[in-house]
Amino acid sequence: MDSNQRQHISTVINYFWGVDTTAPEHVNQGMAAIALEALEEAQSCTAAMDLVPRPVSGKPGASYVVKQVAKIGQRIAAGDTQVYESCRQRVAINYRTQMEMAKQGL
Amino acid sequence: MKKFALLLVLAITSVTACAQSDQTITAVFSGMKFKVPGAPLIIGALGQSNDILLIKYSNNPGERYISFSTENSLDTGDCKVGDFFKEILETDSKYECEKSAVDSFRKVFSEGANSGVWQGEGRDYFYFLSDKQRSFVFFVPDNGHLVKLESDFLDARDFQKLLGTTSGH
Repeated sequence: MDSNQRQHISTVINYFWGVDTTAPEHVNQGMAAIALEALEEAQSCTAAMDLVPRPVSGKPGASYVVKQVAKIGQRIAAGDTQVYESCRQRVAINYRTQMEMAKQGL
Repeated sequence: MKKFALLLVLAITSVTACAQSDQTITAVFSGMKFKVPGAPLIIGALGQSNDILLIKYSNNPGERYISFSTENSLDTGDCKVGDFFKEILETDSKYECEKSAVDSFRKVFSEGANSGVWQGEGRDYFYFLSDKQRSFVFFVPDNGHLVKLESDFLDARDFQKLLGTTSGH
């Protein structure tokens, strides 16, 4: 995970759970994985299913997770979220414990 | 904020101190006591406001945990919390909460879940249980703060034992 990807992934995390949830240098693979689940749930909620293309089959690999979350982080930073606020709030509550566990590596 | 932190410290102290011989321990959160499975491996206060009490039974990341958290930011669509959940569960549709709030909650929490309400000591516990994913129970303690109880391994019977509820519908 390079520094640009960390920056963009932290943008996604802070979009869901608040501006001070994490700094780029604290982003880890577990946090990226939870962020991707949250994005998929939020996009399902908003019926914007085409924003994150899923891998053809099986569990997404680590590089897929980082690239996809980083790409969407760029879009969020540019003001393009395509997620209804109501969906964002529900997903934030749904995944809050998991994200906090991932932050601590628990 | 400090009050929350203090409550959580007390909760953690209680979890540690109240080990029982019947393989449950007492967890205290938001002024309520709960019987949780004994022998946890990790107990901690998480979240920016330390408003999540985590009790974990595995060292594998993200697995076998119970958490209690306060979720005061929940948008209830201009309804009272209890009315909102009743509308979610369609046990009473007279409340007419904001549709987007109801639909989005159903999409994220109810879809594919076994949902309903348990009663215990004059309190409603709104549950959304999944066999394959995480399960959630929402309720409001006497302090008025909405609490989310979450676990990835408890089943309906375990939750009811933990909460001290006996029946559901």
